[in-house]
Amino acid sequence: MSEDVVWPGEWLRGVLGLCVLRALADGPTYGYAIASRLAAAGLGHVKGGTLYPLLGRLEAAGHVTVEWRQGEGGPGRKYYSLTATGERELVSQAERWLTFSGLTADLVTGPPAAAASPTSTTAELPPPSTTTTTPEVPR
Amino acid sequence: MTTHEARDRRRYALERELAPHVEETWAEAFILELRLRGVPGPRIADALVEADSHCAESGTPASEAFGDAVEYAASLELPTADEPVGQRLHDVLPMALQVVAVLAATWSMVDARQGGAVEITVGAVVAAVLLAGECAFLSVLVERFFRTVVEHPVRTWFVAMANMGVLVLLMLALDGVIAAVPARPVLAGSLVLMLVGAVWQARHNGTDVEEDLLVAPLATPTALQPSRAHAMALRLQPWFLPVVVLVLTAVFWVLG
Repeated sequence: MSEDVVWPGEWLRGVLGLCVLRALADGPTYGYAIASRLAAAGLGHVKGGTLYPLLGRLEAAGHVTVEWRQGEGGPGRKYYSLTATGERELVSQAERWLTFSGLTADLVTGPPAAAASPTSTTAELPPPSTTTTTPEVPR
Repeated sequence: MTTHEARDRRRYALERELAPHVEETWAEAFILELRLRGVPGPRIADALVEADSHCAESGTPASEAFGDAVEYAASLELPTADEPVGQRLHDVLPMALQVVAVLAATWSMVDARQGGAVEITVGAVVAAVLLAGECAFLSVLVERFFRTVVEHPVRTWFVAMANMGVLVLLMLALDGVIAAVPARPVLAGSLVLMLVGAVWQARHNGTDVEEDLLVAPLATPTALQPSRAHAMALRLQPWFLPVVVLVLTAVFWVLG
């Protein structure tokens, strides 16, 4: 999947908080690195105007702490680290998201509700995948 | 260097120093919006330097990565320095004292020269109370006031002029005399109060400058000093009006 794919803004807005928390779970990191990580994961390009207010809200909610570090020959970087509260939030949101997206997938790919007539055209939908409800989330 | 470049260098010196990878006009609008919201200086610098860092690494201009400067500033929802009302009123006292003293000095100057008495009229008292109330009101709502001045300068100007007109009319119309006070003591007293107010204001200015500069997050201590010109201007500012009034009084006394 190319890094230039553009997903609907509504979808991204729904998952951005969770994805940022996940990106932070691997260790302290800074805004641009988070954006690059999300882009590399195939979620497309996250603008600074969207990302930094979100990081600010995470800080205000106590999910992250911040620390400025001198950059290598460039401007300093503001590093964000996940707090214990943030880790709990990540786990809980991830569980709920997987449940939610599983339900959505089942609905979208499931059989039509009413008996299908021979002349109706049902679109070829991808077969439902088997989703697990216990997520593998690193601690 | 052309005059344009020299002028821009002065105007955008702060923006260029804090955020060299961000467009100057964007940075200026960003800082202004946060100042109008009452966000403390170091917090503004923190947000701006982070935006600069992002632009430096991504190689994109701020207008592209962050959109409109004012909208981005608003979306950050940064905490504002909500000073309690009492603190704000306290901060405006030195200036209020000087204004009252200067008005009293100019009023009593003529009669003091002749050794007569100053008449305190109903209109004068009413106008003084109204003026004091307006100053208190504005000092409490100072951010809203500054934003109105910045966004609607012409309208603000007209309202200020109309307000002054009303106060003058009141003073002229309500001319019933309450008391007559010997003018020389009033003049002497108001000049002293004026100087007291100036000293008080000078001490205020000293502390205010250090507390709310835009300090970059990793700045070294030497970088925390305000520019010499800025510090000098702030130290001299409270003395301009008193000096002018004293000179005028002296000139008037000698020539009058």
